[in-house]
Amino acid sequence: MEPVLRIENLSKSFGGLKAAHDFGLELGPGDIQGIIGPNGAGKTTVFNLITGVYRPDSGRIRLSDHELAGLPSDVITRRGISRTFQNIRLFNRMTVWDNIRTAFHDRSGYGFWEAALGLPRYRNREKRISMESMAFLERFGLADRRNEPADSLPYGEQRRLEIARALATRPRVLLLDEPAAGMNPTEVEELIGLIRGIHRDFELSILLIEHQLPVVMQLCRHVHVMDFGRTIAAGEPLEVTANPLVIKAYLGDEEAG
Amino acid sequence: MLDTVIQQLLNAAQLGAVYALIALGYTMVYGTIRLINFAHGDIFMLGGYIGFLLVTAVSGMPLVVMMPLAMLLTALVGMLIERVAYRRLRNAQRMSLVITALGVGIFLENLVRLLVGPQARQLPAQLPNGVVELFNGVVVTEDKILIIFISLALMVILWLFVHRTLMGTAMRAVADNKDAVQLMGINLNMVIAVTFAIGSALAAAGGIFFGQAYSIDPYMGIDLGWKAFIAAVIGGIGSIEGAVLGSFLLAGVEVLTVAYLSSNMKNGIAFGLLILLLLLRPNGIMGRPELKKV
Repeated sequence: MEPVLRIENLSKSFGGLKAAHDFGLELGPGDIQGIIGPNGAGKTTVFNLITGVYRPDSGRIRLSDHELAGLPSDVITRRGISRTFQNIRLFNRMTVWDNIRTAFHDRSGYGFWEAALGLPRYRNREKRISMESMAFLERFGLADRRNEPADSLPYGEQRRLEIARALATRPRVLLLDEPAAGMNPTEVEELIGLIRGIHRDFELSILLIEHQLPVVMQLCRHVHVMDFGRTIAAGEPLEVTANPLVIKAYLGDEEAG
Repeated sequence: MLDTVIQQLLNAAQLGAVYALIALGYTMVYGTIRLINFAHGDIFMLGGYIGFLLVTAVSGMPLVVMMPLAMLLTALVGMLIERVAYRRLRNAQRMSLVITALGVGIFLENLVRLLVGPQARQLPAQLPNGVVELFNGVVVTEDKILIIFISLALMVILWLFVHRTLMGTAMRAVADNKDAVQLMGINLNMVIAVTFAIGSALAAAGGIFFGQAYSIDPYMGIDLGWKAFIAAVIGGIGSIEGAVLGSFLLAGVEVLTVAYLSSNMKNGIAFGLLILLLLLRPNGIMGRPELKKV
């Protein structure tokens, strides 16, 4: 099947440091793939390149038939790639409700004067956006919290809100950057269930970075292992984690520690 | 006695309204790009002059046409300034932006001086200036009431825009976490341009009202700009409600000082108030402590 997201030869250097070197990936419709690797391996760099936070030195990023490399972040999001962050980036002082609403920005469908004069189109569109926002908050168990500032939520709910907000932009590809960071085993189990549910209900492809191997093992059919900016292995999770190179670069550290 | 007090309070409300129309631009721009836009007082001046030129060019142009038109034109100038002078410096050192803003202000003052001349001018009175009797013998002029009323209406519209529309939500989002905004599919440049447009349009309304109530000259933006900036800081820069509150508070203190103490002490008391308030509340009345990112 034709991949939704195809990345070829993606590279980025900072000074002399090759943060990402020749990264490649094919994400099919409905795929869940993972990127693992030690700290500083270049995983988040790859996400930043895909979402336009950094401009790639070379390489191609294609979403279906559209080339994304070099486009600004907001355009890339509108084309259908959305993400969460390792360190949660919510609009902290805004309410849960307003956080979700930001995702609808480019689909407002009304102009300044229609809003200023309170014309029917403004009111109808706002009503629809409110309904959709509410549906997202309910789906993620945040409806009761909607009037609270985002930074007052407990950590787990902040994670859920960030995922909900990313989904509200209606992505075709969702990038999750260490969604299980800082979670205990019970919370991790819940998160795995949540991601499975999202994958089932929203018809999208997911690419996730994760340190917690259980998450990768249970969710991903295909895993990329990065070390010092390079992909040192790729394949099925079990096969990859048995690869001596991977054990040396990644798992070896943990055993030694 | 009561009559004088009410007159003074209305004077304070009128001055406070003009301060607020300017202060909102300071606070909104600061909120989105953390810039104290020192050219903003001069945008206020420019708004007054654009209004003046419009009524001079088309005599008999009514205020209901002139004011929205002047606000629109000033908004375009505000957007142009942001595009030409500030955008490239957005990620540069803060000081570069501030110096640029000061330079833009001096440029605007001298441009107007060169084109229209340095003398003070009076906007033709376009507001009805009859008097209304409030109650037994207390009369107020209609123009004063209208200036206060229209200004408050503009502030209410702004508040609704910021809190009830997606563009307003995006503006608050930019103020909250600029890094996350674009990843929501929001065009950051567009939101910042809209912020400048709205701030400039409000300042233009202030300039026109000021020209109606007093007079306009190329340097009027310096004094008024500083006062409005102080008002925004007193209220808590970055906060819209704070800017309005600070403006009326500052105007109240000034007008009452002039009326009951001495006009020489006006600025002394105003700046003294700023210092005192900032000692007690470094982030202003409505301001919240800046969150440091780790």
